[in-house]
Amino acid sequence: MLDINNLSVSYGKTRVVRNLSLKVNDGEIVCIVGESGCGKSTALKSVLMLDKNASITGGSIIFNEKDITKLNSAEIRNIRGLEIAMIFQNAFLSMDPTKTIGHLFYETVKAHNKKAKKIDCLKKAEELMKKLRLWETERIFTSYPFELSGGMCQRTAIAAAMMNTPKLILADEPTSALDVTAQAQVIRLLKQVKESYNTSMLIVTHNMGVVANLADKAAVMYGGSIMEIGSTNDIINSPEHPYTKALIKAVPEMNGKIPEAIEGLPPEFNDDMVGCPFAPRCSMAKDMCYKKFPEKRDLSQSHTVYCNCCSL
Amino acid sequence: MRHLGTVCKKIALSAIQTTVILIGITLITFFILHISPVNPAEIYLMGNSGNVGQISQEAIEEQEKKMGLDKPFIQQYALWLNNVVHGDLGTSMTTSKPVSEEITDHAVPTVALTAVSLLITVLISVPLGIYCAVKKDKALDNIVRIFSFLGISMPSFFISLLLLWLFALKLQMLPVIAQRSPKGIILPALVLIIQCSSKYIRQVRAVILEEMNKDYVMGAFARGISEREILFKHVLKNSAVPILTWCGTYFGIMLGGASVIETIFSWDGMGKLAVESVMRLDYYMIQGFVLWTAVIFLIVNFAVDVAGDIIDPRLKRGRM
Repeated sequence: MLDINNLSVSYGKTRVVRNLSLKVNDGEIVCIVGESGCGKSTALKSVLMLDKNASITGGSIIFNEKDITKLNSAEIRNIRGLEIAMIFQNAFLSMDPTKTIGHLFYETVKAHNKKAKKIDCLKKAEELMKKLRLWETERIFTSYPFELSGGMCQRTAIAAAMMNTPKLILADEPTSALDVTAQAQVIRLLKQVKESYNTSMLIVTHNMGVVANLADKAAVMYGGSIMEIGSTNDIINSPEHPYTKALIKAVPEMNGKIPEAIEGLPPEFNDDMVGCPFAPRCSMAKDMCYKKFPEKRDLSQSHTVYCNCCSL
Repeated sequence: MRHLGTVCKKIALSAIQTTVILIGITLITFFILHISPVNPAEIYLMGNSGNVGQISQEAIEEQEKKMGLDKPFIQQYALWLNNVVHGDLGTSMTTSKPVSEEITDHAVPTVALTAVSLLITVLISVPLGIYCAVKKDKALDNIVRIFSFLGISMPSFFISLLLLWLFALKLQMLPVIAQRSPKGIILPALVLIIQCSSKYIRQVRAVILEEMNKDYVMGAFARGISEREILFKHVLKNSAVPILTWCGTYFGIMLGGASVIETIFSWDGMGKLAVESVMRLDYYMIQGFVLWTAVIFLIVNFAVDVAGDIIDPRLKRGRM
């Protein structure tokens, strides 16, 4: 359904996404994991061409047999919110503070159907919210975004995104701004959406818990490139890439063990970067790692890693 | 009834605030006038004749007594305040007319000048500011930027003289001295419009640009809303309060009387009255003028506040 091929995205002259390839199938939840600043959000936003400062310098984004990178602005507008919806890290900030939530639901429908009436939209929204087990619809519709709690706001944003029953949902760190209980509610809701509507999702997160709970497939990103991609089970239980291993070791646990931080800092983006972006922080790095970007190696049908050193 | 209670509380609070501000402002002006080295009694006796040093000391002392200047400072202020509360702003020392009459007389031309200038300023600046924000760094934005830069950097007397030279001397289309004629309003209004628009266009542009960088704009784009709708239904509504606040400021500045412009064009409004009163150290007239300016700014602020409450739900629900 969504097929990203060799995508490169730049801010000015700095290339922050490098030759990214990723597939999302029907009804599949794919997570992109990585530290802040690894280019995962940029990659996600470029699927809807949302970042005005970013330019796509190579590759293609095929959605339903159309290349999104080649569409004009009117054609892209017809996809946004209708076929592909997006959820942001901070739902509260992604809504106009001067409009009620009810208006948000109405406008989301009206953007793609000029004849839509507000009463019908609200009725539909109420049914949808009930199906997703969100109550107090009356109060929510008459509230302004700043009158809802963060978790409520995010769950409402997800419901609003479903108003046009899109085939794909893009979510940019949907749980990162929330406390733990609200995170659990959002994860549960996203699962529910997938079960009820068979919606595909591409979720960007730095939270391994989200990956473990939600994803069918996970891609680990570093320095603008994918390091390892595989089923959730492959990534969590048998990670191969040194970076994936380090990332999993860095997850805090309940037993009081202090997680291990990854030494060093994420790379700064510059164009003479050749070789593996993780090499400067990698304990296994060899000379060749600095000289050439690692070859793609398939470990199994679902599990692929880009590394010169591991599992040889 | 909780709602009504909060409204009453709000009104009471702003009434107290207003009183404190007015007393503070008039007290400060009164004090500044009091410590100025010139003796108003002497000025009064001199009248317009300018015979310095020809008035006897006794005559000055007698006049001081008449004007209440021999009393201590606080007592003078209390006396003045008491009169103001009873609707008496005092008598002008130069024209011997009541200050309130002078103000109402001079307010009319200033209100006329303000109405014309502000209306045109808003009609030019708001659309042009929005356009320049949307077409940032395009040709028209750059041209407007240059004009704004010139308008902001040239002092008003210089713009006035340029316009006088061009329209009154070279083209002989407009009178040099306005003197409350309908044709005479054009040049002073033009100077005010040039001065205020130069700033206002840039301010509107900046507000819109800041608003367009906010997350909810990207959120709206992601929902498939058209750029036009985002601009007019979301960005403009969110920018309305700061844009309106600036507008209120210009309204206050203009109504307070553009002293330099009114003096250059002999436009007989509040600004000219203020300059003349200061020159003659006309105590009560200056006090009256300060009070007028303060009241105008308080009213404008209040109006902008109320408008903000109506437009922006964050303010409305936060306060009431």
